[in-house]
Amino acid sequence: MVTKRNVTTKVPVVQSLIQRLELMLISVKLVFSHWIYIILAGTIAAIFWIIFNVFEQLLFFSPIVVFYLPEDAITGFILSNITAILLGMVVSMNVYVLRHSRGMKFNAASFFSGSSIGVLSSTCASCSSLGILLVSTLGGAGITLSTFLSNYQTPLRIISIALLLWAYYSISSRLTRSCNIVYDKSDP
Amino acid sequence: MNRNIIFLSVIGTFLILSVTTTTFPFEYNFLQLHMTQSKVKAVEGQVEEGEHEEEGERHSNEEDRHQEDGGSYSPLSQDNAKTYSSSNKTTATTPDNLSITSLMKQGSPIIGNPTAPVTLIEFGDFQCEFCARFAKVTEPAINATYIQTGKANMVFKHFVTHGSDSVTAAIASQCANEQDQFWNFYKMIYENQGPENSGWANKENIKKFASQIPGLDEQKFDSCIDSQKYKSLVDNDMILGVSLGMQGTPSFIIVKSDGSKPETLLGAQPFPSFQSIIDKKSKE
Repeated sequence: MVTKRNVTTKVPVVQSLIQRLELMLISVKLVFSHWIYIILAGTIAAIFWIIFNVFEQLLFFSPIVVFYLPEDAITGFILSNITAILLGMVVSMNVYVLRHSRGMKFNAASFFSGSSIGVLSSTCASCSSLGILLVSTLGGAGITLSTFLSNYQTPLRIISIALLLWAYYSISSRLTRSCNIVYDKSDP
Repeated sequence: MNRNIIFLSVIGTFLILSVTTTTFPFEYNFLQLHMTQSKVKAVEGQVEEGEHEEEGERHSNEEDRHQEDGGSYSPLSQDNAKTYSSSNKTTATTPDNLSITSLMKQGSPIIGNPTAPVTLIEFGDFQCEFCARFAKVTEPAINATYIQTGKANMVFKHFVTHGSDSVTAAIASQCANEQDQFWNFYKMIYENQGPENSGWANKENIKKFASQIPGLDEQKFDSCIDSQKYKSLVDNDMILGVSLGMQGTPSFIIVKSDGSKPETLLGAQPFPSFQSIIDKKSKE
């Protein structure tokens, strides 16, 4: 009996998960069926890819333009690529919502927090001028803050990806939400 | 709605601040590329010259002795390379003089032929992960291509921005340099680098790392660290770095052997970046 009950409760959960994934895919198809949104997403992703890789000291523009990927940077590189792609998609989908749906709001909190954590965690704070700025303005607290940013780079990046995924889910569920007809009860 | 606006404003400001501060060095890099030695401002609060005159003379004699001794083992590659480690002396450092002779007098660790036409000066911190990347990935290539062939030499300067353990590691490295073991220490410390300010580079752990370096007199090394003998040297290096506009680690200045025509490289750049500047400097 217990086993049967478990099965019956699990099936709707899995079904609903599959349904939500399908809706997320539909929303992607809906937005990216227009080439302008593909270009927008690609541009945003490319800009953030450059920012992340410059911060991560993998991409340099001076004295020559050069990119390299040492072994110690592979994990960070993969995570920053995922963040950049998600940022491109979420921005593009938000623009679509703002242009096509009146009254719909985009999930700004998760998008901006996700993107800012992504940017902040993509650099070794203590190695950059950000570290110098933090130390010179906040003293000991600045060292603690820059140490935190440097030591918890990977978890912070994972958090930023999670927040961006939440922003993506949120926007896709709004895009695929069914229309409700509100009847006026006073109307005979 | 209001809460959302406030939240977005805070996040936006933070984002803009982080982007502008972290990209600033690249603007500075552009300026530094056009920097001439004469334009570099003098360092404030330097050690008075007279204070070290006597030490300077003694130091010069030791330099001569080193030069007569010739090459020693390079830890950064498997091959033997000609290295030079001047004895450590706490002397005032001025950005007006980045010549190899002056750098040796300042007590900075040097690898390669002192008469090489080009000098690569690294400003680094032993707790910096990008410095470790440079030491593991790019430095061996520079060593094999330019240092061992006598085309360039390399000098290490301390730019400690990662907390008190960085200062300890910097002093310890100078103590190793006193025994001509700086580059062994350099390699050892970067290979064993741990999370920033987690205690991996405290005095006790540094002593343990140093005990693994063959040929190092542990007793002498330990007493050197405990006395903080090279604290002022590290401070002077830091002053020099700041006066040269260093904003982070690792940063590099590539100069001719007489200290002229400095060019700055910021970050743990790959070998081709160094190659482009060193080759250019060699031909100048």
